[in-house]
Amino acid sequence: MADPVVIEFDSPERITLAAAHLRSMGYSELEAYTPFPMPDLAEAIGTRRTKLPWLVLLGGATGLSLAYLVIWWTNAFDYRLDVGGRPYDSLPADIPIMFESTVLLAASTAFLSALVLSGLPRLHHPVFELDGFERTTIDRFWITLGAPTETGELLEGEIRFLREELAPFRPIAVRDARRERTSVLR
Amino acid sequence: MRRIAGKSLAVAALGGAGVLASALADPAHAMRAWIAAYGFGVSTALGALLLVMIFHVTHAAWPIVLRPQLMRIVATLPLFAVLFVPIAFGLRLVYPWAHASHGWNSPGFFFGRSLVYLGAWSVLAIALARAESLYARDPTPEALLRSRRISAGGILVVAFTLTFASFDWFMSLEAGWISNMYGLYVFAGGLSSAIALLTFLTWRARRRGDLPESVGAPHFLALGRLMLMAVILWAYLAFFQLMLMWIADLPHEVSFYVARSRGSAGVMSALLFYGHFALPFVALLSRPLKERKTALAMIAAWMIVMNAVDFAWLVLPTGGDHVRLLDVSPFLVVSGLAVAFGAQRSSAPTSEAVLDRASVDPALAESLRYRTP
Repeated sequence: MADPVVIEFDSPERITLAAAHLRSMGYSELEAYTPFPMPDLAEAIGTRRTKLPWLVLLGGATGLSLAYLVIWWTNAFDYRLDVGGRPYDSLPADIPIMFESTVLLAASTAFLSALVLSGLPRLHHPVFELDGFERTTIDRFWITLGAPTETGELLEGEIRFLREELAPFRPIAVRDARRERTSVLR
Repeated sequence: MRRIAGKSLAVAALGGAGVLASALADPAHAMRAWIAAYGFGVSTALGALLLVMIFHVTHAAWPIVLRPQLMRIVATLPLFAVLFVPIAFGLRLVYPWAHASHGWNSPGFFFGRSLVYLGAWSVLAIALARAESLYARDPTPEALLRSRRISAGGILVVAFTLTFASFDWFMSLEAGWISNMYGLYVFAGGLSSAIALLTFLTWRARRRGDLPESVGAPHFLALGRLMLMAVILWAYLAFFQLMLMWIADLPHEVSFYVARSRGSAGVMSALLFYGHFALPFVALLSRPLKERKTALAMIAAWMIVMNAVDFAWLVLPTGGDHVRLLDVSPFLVVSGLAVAFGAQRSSAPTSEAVLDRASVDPALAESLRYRTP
């Protein structure tokens, strides 16, 4: 479900200021679409830091201990192997394998979690259907937000209110996107 | 600037008294301690030289505002040609081959090679500093190209001279012991303390108001990432050198590690594992920590000290004797003189000057605007 209110800008500076203003007004569920990465805007709409690093750490730790467990089980416990008179449980010889499987599991955790956490593989999103959305990959900057109420007249009031509030930031349009969304369904 | 030079000269003088006392008691041991301290200093300066050349060649945008700080470390390289003099005089005290009259390791050829290394590094350091000041006067793309050209050739020159210098000066202390990756190991240690020193200098300049406010969390996060990379690189090389020798178990190879597994050298081995690898590695994984300037600078200072311990560990046990408290003194001399020399030779600009230059130099302005991608 795409957010019902679309606010369109043609300036990266003004969209960032407008986003900060919206946040200060208490709008917390903001989403932004821009032609290029904008770290300042991401901060302004209150994007939370991802949990990914912790998952990667967990993946790495799993790889590390799993590798050691396998080597210890096979060489030092279940089928003792004498290699040139070294101890059965020789850590220096295990470390390359432990290191490699740490990297393997950490990297695959990073890859898969990044996909899952960002909602991929998702081939379609309702926001794609909105008129002019393709311009956000060229020269337009969008903020979308879910209004507190999504029913008819109240939403129209909300939009009128937002138009007045955001006027200093000169948005190109503040519009109700719900009506544009039905085209594909028919 | 004067005050720091005065203070560090005082530290150097204090260390000098220690070196003298140590030399009177046991000249061979004092010589080894001097070589260790020399290695610590010169590896840090060479790490900075390679780092600045890599920044030039790769067109790195974010560190441009930090380059004057980095160039202050590079500017100390000519000093190390002077600090080499005691090693030249004390050759017979410590090098097992010093009585040979011909061959690769004989005093004559050794001096010749050392002269080439020290000459090449000083020339590169001075040439880069000249190109930098040319660029400072007139920030044009042509002036930048000059630095890039010097760097592209310089990286090759330093790669070879650094490797051979570490074979000649440090590895040859150990009679009959050979490790191909020794040069890389010395490089990795020097790089880690060079990046750490750059972080420390940046923190200090920022605190004194010599760098504008816009040098903030993103810049320190980037420096922290480089520090983490250097820690991992050093640990990787240190471990594989150990592992390859441990697994082959040849007497003339493992002797190196046997000598470093007992007594005070054994304590240093443990300190290196925990202090040079484990502690900074775990600490630097944290992103919030890397963005906290003071915390990062403290870790940087720790990493510089660990590079000193690393060289003490490499060089001191070759004579088979214990580490003494007075072994700290040559490290005080070398770092005191280097800091004083660096502070005199080049001055980092003030905050206002940086902002003024940013208005005419778009690359500098971009560096100030750097945000973590």
